[in-house]
Amino acid sequence: MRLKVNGELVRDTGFRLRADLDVDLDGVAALVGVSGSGKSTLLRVVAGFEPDAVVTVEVDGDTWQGASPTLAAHRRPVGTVFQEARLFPHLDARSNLTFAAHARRPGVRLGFDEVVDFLDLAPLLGQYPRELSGGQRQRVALGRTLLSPAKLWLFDEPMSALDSASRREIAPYLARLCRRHDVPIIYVSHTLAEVLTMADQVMVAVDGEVSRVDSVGEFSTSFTTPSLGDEAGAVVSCRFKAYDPRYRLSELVLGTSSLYVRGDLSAAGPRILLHIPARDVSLATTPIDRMSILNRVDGIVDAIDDQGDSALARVRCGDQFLLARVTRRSVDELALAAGIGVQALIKSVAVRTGAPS
Amino acid sequence: MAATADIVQAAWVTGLLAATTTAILLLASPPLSWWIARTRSKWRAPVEALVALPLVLPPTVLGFYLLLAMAPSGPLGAIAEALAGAPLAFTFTGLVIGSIIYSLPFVTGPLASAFRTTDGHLLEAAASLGVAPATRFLRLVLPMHKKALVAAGVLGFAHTVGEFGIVLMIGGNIPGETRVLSIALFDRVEMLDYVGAHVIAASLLVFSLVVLTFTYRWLRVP
Repeated sequence: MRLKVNGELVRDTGFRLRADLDVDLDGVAALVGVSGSGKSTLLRVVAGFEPDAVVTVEVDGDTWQGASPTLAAHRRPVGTVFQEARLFPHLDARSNLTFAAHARRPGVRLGFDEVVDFLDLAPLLGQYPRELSGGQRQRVALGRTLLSPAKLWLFDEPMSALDSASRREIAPYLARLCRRHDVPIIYVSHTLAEVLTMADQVMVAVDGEVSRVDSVGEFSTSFTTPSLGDEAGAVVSCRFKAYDPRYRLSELVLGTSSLYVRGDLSAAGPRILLHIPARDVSLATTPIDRMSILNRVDGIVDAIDDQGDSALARVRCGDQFLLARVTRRSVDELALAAGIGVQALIKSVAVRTGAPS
Repeated sequence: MAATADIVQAAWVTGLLAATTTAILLLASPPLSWWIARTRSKWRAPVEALVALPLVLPPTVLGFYLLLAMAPSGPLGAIAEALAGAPLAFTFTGLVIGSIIYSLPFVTGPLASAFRTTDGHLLEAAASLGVAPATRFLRLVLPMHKKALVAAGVLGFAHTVGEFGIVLMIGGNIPGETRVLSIALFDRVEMLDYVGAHVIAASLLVFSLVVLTFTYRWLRVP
């Protein structure tokens, strides 16, 4: 889905949003940025809740806004989950979920039982919003949106009220839904870990300006990405090569090297996204042949970012980048600098669920 | 007891008039109130003023102009002549029209106030689900303001029961057709029939007090 948003919105409060986006939405696009940077406002513009904004919104060649007449919010095939649950207080959870049962607009509509099952809503169906906890309300709101017809989902921190266990369960489910039904998601998130484990694309909002779209790989290895800290890690895209049933390892190709990942990934598609935390990557300047770490990837140091206590090294492997967390002492002793050939020793990789299929 | 039969008949006309008026107002007022509560049109203030006129004008002023309009030579009267072959003045239908105008602010005002408190976020949420404005109004706005609707209906009913000036001007005093309780009371006093007057006056007083008490109590029940 090709989404173009272009224009400016100015609020009485002085806040302004400038958007100059032309993005081919495919999968989960994370929208990140500090509070007040315009993330929610951008979603509101796309959803149709800012009809007075002087903004052009174009989707797959159709002009939703900017030409007259503006397409009303309820006619846009867009399902929005807001930061707050916004459940209808006079209806129980079941009636909230089925509120859009008669909505007539094009789009994918999921099955009631599937959604109720997955979000574990069955015990809540007869309850009213005021009887539900914050997390329960958010789950109902998420289900309500999934049950309304849509071709694009806008999620404004839909899991902020959920505990981390539910998040870990629901996030990959959403990513899978988006793949299975070919409904792209724009997902506002404050949690870097969530972005790195879910997103395929990343849009960054800075001071009310949204214009940059990166692949998650570029985003994850960019030193300008905010608050990388301990969660820093690269998302790399690999090619599946073979599965070795004897050791139950899948062989993937990254640059000129092979990576071995547990489990049979032959059905996961030609491109597999891996999340490799920087703290689990060590660097060696001379190749090490005999050691228990299987994943040794050849690359070239692209840049070093001195972060005070330690440093982050970005290593190019073919057209992908890895991040390695190293001490400053190692940087000096190994004379690590841009252009030096290294072997990256990778202790752990996580296959991202919801990876392209 | 011809006298009592007369009161019963007037009570019946009054009740029928109030019920008809309230029913029509409960259909017409919600959309109007919603428009008043939500619109950014420059016409909002003039329309609101027009609706509120019966609150400040002597009912006889309204009654006077309605009488002129409903007379066979007046615009409303002419329309009625053309459609039904009879004028509106001094008919039950004419009374209903007068009552609707007279009680309109008592239904529209409270409803508009209630509608103004509608959480716009919920309407957005409904729109985001693909639900059209009319459906949002019927399935979201009205149920959320159930109490305000009942209260507005009760006020409209009670206020129509208590109307006098307009009825006096446009209704005449035709038994079984346009003679309502307030007029019947006025007649009794003129005829110095204080017993009959007491029966009517006390009934209206008790009725109003009871209805309002129950309404206010019900409004406070969570």
